[in-house]
Amino acid sequence: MEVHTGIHTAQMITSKKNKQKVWVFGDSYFEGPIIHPKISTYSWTKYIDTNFDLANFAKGGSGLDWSLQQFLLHTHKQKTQNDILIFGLGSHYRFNLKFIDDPTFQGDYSLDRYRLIAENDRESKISTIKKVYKQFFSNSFLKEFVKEYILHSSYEITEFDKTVAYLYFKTKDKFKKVLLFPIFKLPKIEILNDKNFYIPDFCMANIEYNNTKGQWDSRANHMSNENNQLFANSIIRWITDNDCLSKNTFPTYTENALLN
Amino acid sequence: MHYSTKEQKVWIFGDSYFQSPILDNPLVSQNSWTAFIEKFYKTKNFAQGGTGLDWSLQQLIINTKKKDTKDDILIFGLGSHYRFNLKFIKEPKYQANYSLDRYKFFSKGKWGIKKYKQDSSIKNISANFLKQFIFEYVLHSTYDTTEFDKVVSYLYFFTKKRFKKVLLFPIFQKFSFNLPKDSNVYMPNFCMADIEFKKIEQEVDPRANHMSDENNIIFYNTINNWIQNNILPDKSLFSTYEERQ
Repeated sequence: MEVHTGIHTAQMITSKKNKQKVWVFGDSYFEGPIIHPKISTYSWTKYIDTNFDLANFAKGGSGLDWSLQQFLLHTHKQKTQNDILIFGLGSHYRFNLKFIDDPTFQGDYSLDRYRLIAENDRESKISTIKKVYKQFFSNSFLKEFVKEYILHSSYEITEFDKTVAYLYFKTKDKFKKVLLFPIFKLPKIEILNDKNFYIPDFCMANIEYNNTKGQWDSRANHMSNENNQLFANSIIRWITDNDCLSKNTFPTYTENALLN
Repeated sequence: MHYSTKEQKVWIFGDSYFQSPILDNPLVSQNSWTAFIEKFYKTKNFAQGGTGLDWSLQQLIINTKKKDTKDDILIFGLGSHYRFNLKFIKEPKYQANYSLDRYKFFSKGKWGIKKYKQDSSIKNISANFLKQFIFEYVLHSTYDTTEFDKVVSYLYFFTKKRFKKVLLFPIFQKFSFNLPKDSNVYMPNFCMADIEFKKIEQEVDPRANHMSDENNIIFYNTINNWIQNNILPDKSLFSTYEERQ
């Protein structure tokens, strides 16, 4: 499947050496293409990978702090003034804890997972809730961690916005352009968008929220082939022309109050 | 020159450097800069000695929620993010007793993990959790390297439209970035703890706001000058100032 952007400039379609460098961080919505032919034939990251000098450090299942950590590790001491940064603002409830050896599993121990399933299946699938609850609290440290720190400190209210605000100061003048893309929730702090710093006003998880109903979605980047194509086009137009991304681009987009 | 007494409202948050005056021992202190602020301004001071950065942030959010503060001034002492806001520490003033920076301080800039593990003062029912919290989260995640800057970045955006003007004052460490110059959010370029760092040879300095009477008066004057004339506090006014390495 081809992506028809109408903006393929000579500058874009050229050797890797001269390609625009794009850094990507985030979770499964941003990770490099994992395409199961029976499920998906297209991933928006695949197109970016083909046409740009892509450095993609996103990983499915990982949380916001892990993505931030990868960003700090990989861009430290790098000259990034001419580069583009795309950062997926994932879940701050996927904790970056040492005992979770593989960050892919941070999602399994996330607090929002329990809450999401509890909300959706409250009446009909009480056993599922109990199972997830048991898994979540089977680790005694995790239980104490949530009780002693997450729910007692300002973490729940401030952590997501703190990370967004930090990324503003950390990245704004260090990259040619920065895109911070909300995945599950929008920041509550007001940051003005400008030519080199942009936060869209919609959540990526809502592009197809109604199609998944909070259950695991194994499609590439959790979107249909069509939406992956539309998403790739939107990203390209932001990179090349500073066009804002719009939720109206996606016919399946549904606002999800639960996540916001 | 002051504003008309008690007309200007000033909110204060932070730790012992910002708390209301404790002048019950005249042999130790007769002056506190916060006493002068409270004398001349309509002051709401929620600072408390021993507390950490997150606790102060939490107090700001709780106490100014649904309040119209657009004509008010905010002074926020940026304390230690190593004084953790944990539930088992029933009184926030004891957050300092469980802080990690104590161990860095006593180990010449490196984490004194061994000392931390051996410290008998944290051998209680929650000690095991605290140690796990440090190793599982604080030293494994980005907390150690980003938390202070994250809170300051957040405060910039959270407060700039809510208050007439804001002073974010570093106490133990500086912010890694520059705040926009055209903003109503101000930040001095020095740490308050360095005003008399060399003089503190004991672990706890019992003087009001950890400064001499003379420095408390100078400090009040610099804060007052900022409130009235937007002139930022200047470290060169303090003869005892020495930047910590």
